[in-house]
Amino acid sequence: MGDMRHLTLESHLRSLLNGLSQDNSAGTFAQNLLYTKPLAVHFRPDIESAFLVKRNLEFSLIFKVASFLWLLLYVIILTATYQKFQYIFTDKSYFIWQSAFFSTGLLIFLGGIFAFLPKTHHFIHQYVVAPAMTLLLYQLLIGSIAHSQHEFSSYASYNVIIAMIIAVNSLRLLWQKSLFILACSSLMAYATAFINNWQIPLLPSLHGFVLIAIVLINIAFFIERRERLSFLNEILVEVKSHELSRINRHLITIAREDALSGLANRRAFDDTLIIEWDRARRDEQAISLLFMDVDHFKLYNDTYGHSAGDDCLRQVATAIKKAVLRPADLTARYGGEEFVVLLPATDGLGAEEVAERILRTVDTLAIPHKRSLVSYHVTVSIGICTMLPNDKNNIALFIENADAALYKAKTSGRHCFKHYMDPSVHNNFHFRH
Amino acid sequence: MLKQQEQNHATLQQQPELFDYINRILSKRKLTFLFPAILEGQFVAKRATDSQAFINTGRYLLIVLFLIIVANVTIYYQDIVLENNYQIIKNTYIPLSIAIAFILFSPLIELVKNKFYYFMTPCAIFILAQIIFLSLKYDGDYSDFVVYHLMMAIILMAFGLRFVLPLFFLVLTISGAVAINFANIWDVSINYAKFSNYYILYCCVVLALTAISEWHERLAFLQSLLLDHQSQQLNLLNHELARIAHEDALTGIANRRSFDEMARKEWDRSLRDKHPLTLLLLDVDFFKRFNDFYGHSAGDECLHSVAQTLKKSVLRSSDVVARYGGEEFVILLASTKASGGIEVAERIIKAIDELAIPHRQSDILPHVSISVGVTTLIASPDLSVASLIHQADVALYKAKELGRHQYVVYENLLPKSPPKSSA
Repeated sequence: MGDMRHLTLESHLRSLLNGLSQDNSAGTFAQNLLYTKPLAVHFRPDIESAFLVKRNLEFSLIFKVASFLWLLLYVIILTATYQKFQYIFTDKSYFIWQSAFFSTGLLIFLGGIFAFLPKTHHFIHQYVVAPAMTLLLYQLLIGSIAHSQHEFSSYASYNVIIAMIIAVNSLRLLWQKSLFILACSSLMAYATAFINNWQIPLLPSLHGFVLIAIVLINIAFFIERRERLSFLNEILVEVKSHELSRINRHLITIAREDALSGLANRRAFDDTLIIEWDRARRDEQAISLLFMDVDHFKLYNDTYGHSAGDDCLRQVATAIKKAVLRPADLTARYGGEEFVVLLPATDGLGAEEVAERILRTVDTLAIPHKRSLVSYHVTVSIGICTMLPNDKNNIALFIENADAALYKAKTSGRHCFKHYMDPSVHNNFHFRH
Repeated sequence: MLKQQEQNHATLQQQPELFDYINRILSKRKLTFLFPAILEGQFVAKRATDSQAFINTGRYLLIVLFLIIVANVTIYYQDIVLENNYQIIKNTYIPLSIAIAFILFSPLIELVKNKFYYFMTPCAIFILAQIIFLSLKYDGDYSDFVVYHLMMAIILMAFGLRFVLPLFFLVLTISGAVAINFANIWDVSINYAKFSNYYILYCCVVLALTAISEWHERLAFLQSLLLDHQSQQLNLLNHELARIAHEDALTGIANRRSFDEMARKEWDRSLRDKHPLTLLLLDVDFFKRFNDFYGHSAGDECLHSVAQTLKKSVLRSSDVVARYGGEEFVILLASTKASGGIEVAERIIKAIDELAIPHRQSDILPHVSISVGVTTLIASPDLSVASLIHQADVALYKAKELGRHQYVVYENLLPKSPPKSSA
């Protein structure tokens, strides 16, 4: 709890829950308990401490609001008593009732002050509330026992019950602690009565205190049990949210990634192409597409086997990716041994530069290819198309032209690039290189 | 309980806007005491179930409590109880006991169980009004005695019967009003100072406490709905994930990864059972030209229909059909001898011919055709799935060499018998 000073209770609880959500065993633990639903719900230590922090937080919230209500309740009882039994406050023989009123008022006043100091709430809830409540109940109890023949005695015992209910049901203490408060305060009160030789009215104390205390503790136990189970629910919600977002992320990755090469897949390419095409059209900028194919890959596959073929594709993919420098450029596997590079906001010259770089990078890989008719190692051919999107062209034409350029590169000996210049970019279209 | 969960799923599934509502309330921990009708109904039903569980576990404890009270009253307040010819017993204690017994045993009655709060509300009002009336009518010790039990009854109703806040407020107000009304009818002089202390003030405190606890419970309820919803979504996603991981996106048949997995399993089984494994490696003839000539999307379509045809041509569910890469497919036939493999190969070549996808660039036929390499092995520790594939690849290569549109069996290529092909 050393870090408590730097964190608010709420963020502390968040981080604890977050920690539990990444712990699979916490989820299993919660699931098991929720399934068996035992009468006494015991948590393991880390969950228990998170639960206590949550109760702490709830106490803090209640404390802020309730301190006003306590004050209101106190003022109402005080005024009503003063109007009906004014002499209680002046006659010295009613010292016990005077001191009970005074100490209750003092506690509520102090509570009101500390309610505005949220940093103290954690400490108050852990160490102060229980003894303070014990003392308060002790005072009220002696008050209800002291002058048992006096008319005010009935009112005093009603007020004891109200205080008991508030203590047990609203202070967010564990039920054992509540039981402890009730037991201690009553033992102290009856001991005091015994020492002073007061006549203890047996029946009212049995019904007005013991039976009600039993009912209250019983209810507190069931409420706590329900809250513990719903806390497990809360943990499970965290666990599942965490898992859901993980799986969603994973799904998005595998839906848009080519498993073999690790590049974007065809679907991701198609989506990006539409977006980039529209953007280029809006910004009136040229957009370039490189279509490439591993030369004589069929022969490579037949010679070296499938797994060597896969390996070759992976290396070529990495090489292409390395040759494409800007983050906005997209490298994708188009199918089989075909790759594409989409270069937004790139004119013909820029595209040729990239193509040149790709050719060189693949060459430096120098993957042996005995049966290639072009070179002794694996090479690629590239078709380039640069366009300025307008009313006369479209995406299908863009791809078709890049494909045509690639075909041209293949027919003119492979291991090179051919550039299809669209009329939208140049007045006269031609193949270069 | 399970049924209830399914019902929750159904409601959430039908109304995604409910889910938004739940998330909004939960993220702000908003104070609310009335849900939209469909949730409110479920929430009240859950409270009724909880309350019945509480009554069922505490029934005998509550009976003992009640008996202690009755015993004490008859011992200590005989004069009051016996006055006027047992009036108080006849008019109050007997109806009260019946009402309390009715509540304690109500979870055992099917009709009451289903319409819990329709029965509990009048019952609670009746009991409270009776006790309040007693506390008003008599003064002194006996009055205090009654008041303690009134307070006990109120707290038991708040946390045991679990009325929702507005309904509980109504129950308390009506009972108080009814009791005062009867007291006036019977000319009882009412000590209003006491009454406002032990009833009005006390009820305010209890209502405030039930409000806090109900707020927590409502949030917990939404949380449990959210949890059900998330579990369901998680199941769907996991299912989807498994499908994506094992399916080839283009052709809809198993992908390479899932083939590797299944092949390993079949290999292990063959190791154990010594049953032969037959593998077919298939390649679309001149597919490169098809792609170049008809375009990529036509090529994709061609692969898709070929894959679907292959899938239809194997009959047993244990047979694995997968896309091996580019235009290559693989079929693994478990516990199948070479003759079975040949049968399948023949069937496939015929089925692809019947598809009759036009292919003008093919050297051999005017439509798309397929070559097949077949091999059969009995698994042994010094071999692996890779040897199976290698043999099929060799056979496939031979089939291509021999002019495509045919199958070649690897075993026939071995030196002891001359290479043989059939078409």
